[in-house]
Amino acid sequence: MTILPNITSHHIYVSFEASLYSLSGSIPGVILFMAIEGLLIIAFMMILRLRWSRPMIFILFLLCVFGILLLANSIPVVMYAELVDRSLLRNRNWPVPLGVAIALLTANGMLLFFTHTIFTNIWNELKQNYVRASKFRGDEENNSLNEKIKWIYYSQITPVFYFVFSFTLFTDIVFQNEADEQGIVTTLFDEVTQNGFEGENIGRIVVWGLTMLSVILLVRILTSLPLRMWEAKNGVLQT
Amino acid sequence: MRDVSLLNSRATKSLVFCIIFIICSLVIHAQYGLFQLSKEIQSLQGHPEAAEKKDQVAQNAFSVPSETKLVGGSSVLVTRLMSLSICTQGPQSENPQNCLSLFQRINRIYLGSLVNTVTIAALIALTMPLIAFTLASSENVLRSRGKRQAARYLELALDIVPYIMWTIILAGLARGVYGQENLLGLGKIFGQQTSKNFSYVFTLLIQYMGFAAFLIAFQSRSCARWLLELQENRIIDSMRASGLPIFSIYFRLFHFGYRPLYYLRQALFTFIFVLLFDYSLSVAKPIHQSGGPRMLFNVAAQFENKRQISERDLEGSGQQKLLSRINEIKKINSREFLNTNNPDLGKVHFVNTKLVKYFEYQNFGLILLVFSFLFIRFDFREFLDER
Repeated sequence: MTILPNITSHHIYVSFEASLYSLSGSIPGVILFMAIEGLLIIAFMMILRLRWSRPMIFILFLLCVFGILLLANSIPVVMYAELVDRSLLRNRNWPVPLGVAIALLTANGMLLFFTHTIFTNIWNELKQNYVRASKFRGDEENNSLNEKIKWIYYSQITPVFYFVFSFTLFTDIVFQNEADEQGIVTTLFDEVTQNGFEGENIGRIVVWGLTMLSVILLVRILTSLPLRMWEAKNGVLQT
Repeated sequence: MRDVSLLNSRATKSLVFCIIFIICSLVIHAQYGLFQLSKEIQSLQGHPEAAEKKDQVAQNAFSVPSETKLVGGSSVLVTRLMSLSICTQGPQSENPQNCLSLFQRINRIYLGSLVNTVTIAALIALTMPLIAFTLASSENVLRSRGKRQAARYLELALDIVPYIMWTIILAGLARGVYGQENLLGLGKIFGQQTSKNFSYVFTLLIQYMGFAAFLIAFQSRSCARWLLELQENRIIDSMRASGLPIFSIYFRLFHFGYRPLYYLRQALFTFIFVLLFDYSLSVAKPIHQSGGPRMLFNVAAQFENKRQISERDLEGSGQQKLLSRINEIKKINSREFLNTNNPDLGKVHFVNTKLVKYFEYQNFGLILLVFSFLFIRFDFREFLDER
């Protein structure tokens, strides 16, 4: 089957396979990342209750969380990937997708960036009148914030997925001795940086890119499903 | 309340103190390690064989011969180590005082490449939030004119493409520009060499823009949300009602609203992101090509590459024990290692490892400095105010 000159169904198959391979690392990455974010939110909400009665504990919590994230996120992703490669994949034979998930946790400030975004959104919401008035209704701040936190949390899943998927470029390069395949991002990157946008390459790059996009969009529907369901349930669905 | 504000101020100060302490420790550690190494290499240069080999020394620190074959005598070691220093009157200079020490040379390389990298990264970091604001403004204009579908398409175009695609596309464009002898007609006006030199810088600018473009969707979305809030509050409508043209409205919004509130933070975040991205890519898969300005992470990657070659040489010669000892570099003293009967390959690998560590510490310190400034200046204080 010829779609473009010298582009066959084989190219589509190759890019489809490579896209699935990239997803095999990025989906566990998103799950692990969102699980950690969930834990951080729970801890933040518990500490928030103490911000008036025990301000020292609240500040120490912030200092510890952000201090650790700041230090961890100042190291480039490729160094974590090398560390994971040495200590987990080669020595302990952990599966590559799990290695990808762990190595990409702090990719280029991602954990700090998203944690800060979530915490700031929650913090700003605390200043809203409905939250401030909750104590006069005999309710707790945390209960009145529940739905908003869900909204903030769900809205981060798709950007995190795109972030993790994009950074499989580095894990593919570092784990190339441990993995039999290569992800679509690395395949595209190699093709473009080695051969450029010239002649037949353009057709190949376009076909690979579009195949990748079709696979990514399917997963995007899944990652944005919790958000859309929440928005539909609460009547704030944007069209 | 007074207690809380005192606590806030103490918390910020202690965070600043801790970070300054870490950064200073990193820099001092890197500089001290390099200084010790430099001193030891200078003492090796005093060796009688060094004088015989001076004429073989290359001026360029990167022209160290490839360590793919084994070397036997210590004279070769001296030649290799000497090639890391440079003489101001050429390699044949008899007076050692005219030679730069390893310490001076590496620091000069570091500073030169740091200036190049920071200049280009800062230029891009200042530009990208402007592009994001322009895109968000265009979307807002379309929305306010009732073209919701067109605005949605613009938003989707940025949103559905995996962020790395912008980096890949711009890396491809940069590849096409690299080394052009008549770029934008410059070759005919200023000569081919000028055009080539310009193309090297232009290539770097495009590459860095590609790294920064990774964030364009985030930044544009955040601008669009801010503009939408203003629109919902009828601020944009009231400006339009006062007779201001579209360009003037968005320029004023940028100048009086967006710039003081968000611009610097976004520019700094882009800056740090570009540095981290370039660092990772330089180590994993360098896309910088020869020629053009020397870039910080590319230089570090070249030293890392040399370290890997010397490691392979050492492995090939069956010196596994020595290799694992060098890998625990913190426990080794330069004087003890270089002045004892260790094999030459081990000494070369030791020097390479030390240099790689120097770049790692310095670069980590640099990134931590910018990241901490961004975080403490803009982010951490948010949680301390109005508590």
